[in-house]
Amino acid sequence: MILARRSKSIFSRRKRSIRIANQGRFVFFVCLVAALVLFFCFRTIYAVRKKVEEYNRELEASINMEIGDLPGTKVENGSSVGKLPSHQGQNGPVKSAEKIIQEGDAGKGNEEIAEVNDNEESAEVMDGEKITGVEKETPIKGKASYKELFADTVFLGDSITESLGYYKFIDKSNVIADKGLTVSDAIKRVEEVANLKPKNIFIMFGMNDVLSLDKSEGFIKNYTKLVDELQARLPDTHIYVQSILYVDPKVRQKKPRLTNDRIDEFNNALQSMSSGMKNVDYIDLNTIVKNYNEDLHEKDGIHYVYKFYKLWLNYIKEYV
Amino acid sequence: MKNKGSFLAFCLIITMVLVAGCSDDRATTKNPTVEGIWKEIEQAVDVSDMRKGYDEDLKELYDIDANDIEEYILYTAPSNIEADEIAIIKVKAKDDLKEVENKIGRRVEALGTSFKDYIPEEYYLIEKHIVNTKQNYVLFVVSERADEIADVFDSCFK
Repeated sequence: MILARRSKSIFSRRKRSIRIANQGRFVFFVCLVAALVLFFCFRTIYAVRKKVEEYNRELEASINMEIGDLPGTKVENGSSVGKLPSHQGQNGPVKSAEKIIQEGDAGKGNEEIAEVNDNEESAEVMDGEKITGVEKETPIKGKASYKELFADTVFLGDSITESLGYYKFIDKSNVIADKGLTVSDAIKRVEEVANLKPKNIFIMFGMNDVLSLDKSEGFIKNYTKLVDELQARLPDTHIYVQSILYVDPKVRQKKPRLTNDRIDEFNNALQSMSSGMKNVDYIDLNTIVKNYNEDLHEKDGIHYVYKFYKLWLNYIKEYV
Repeated sequence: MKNKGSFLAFCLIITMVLVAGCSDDRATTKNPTVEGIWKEIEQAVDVSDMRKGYDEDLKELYDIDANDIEEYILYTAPSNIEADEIAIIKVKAKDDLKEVENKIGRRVEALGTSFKDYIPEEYYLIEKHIVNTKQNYVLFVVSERADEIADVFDSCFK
């Protein structure tokens, strides 16, 4: 039997055309629909891009706030960096920094830290970071390096020292400080410091004592007791007695006792005290303040801004 | 064919509707994202100098594990001598609200201890802090403009 019928496949079938009553109207509606689709597509793309930009900006802002810039100040290098990994681990006992410093990374970090030229660089520039934005990796390594460098150091003090932990320059577990803490309050915290077994202790007290005491004798007596107690528990630990920091002259209007002359008086007494003690050194931090070409104080004229902390740590890193 | 054309048009309309929905991130819906609420707050109040908090901060300040909650946003003061703080926490289940509120209470105590006797102006702000709960969301604010921020938060649920 011969198959007479032609096979009906879709390829052989003749295409039927769609019948359009009004071609103009058809074209109009097709264009309208296409325009609407395109509009909504672009809107979504725009919204997604905006979200991504905002996210990047947020990341940048949080990184820059942590690393270099004061809140609200403009970042000179507009690079988009990955999220800063948290270095605030659960470090109970203080670790030795020696091993860490031998590693390559920390070496790089030291390099960054060492390059700050306080008077020459502008406000926004930090450790080695150029305004052209060349060193994209620097900010993250710089801050991590401070934590590494000072891993076996304890900072003991008042609200000014507390900022070291608040701004995440130093692990909070290495910062024993509270707002309003005086040197006599600190004697109660000696055990806490001793338990960390630090190699170095940087102490900063006095602002609250200058406010509350008429003379430096009582201050020195308590300070001596504090150092003695620390050394009794940690005989090999090196203790650094840091000067009381200068205040803005305007402060005396509201707090007449808080003047730089009185601060000098207390600092001189601290220096004498330290020279008579073994394994204790006095550090004059007001050198940083005096040599800087702008005011580093917060609005209250007493506390210090974020930028100061980098300068401080750069100044004392030589000692550890 | 007429049916083909209608079907095509129907598909296009569905696509448009879906695509339009994805681009809308306004918080003025009953189930806002914490990010959305924050955006509304940013528009109402200047919070540009606050520091964003992350998981470790949530844990350290509130003893809340980020994995135990749905989502959160946390902003703290620009320096340690200011008490401003805004936290919006969305819990996974309504039963968790009480625990979060307790933890916020402990945070308030800690802040108070830190600032009391030292910076009275900031301690005053801590004393007049606001804690608001809406559905699964808890707002905690310490700010001069706490009332405004609380109003913005409330408006996101209307």
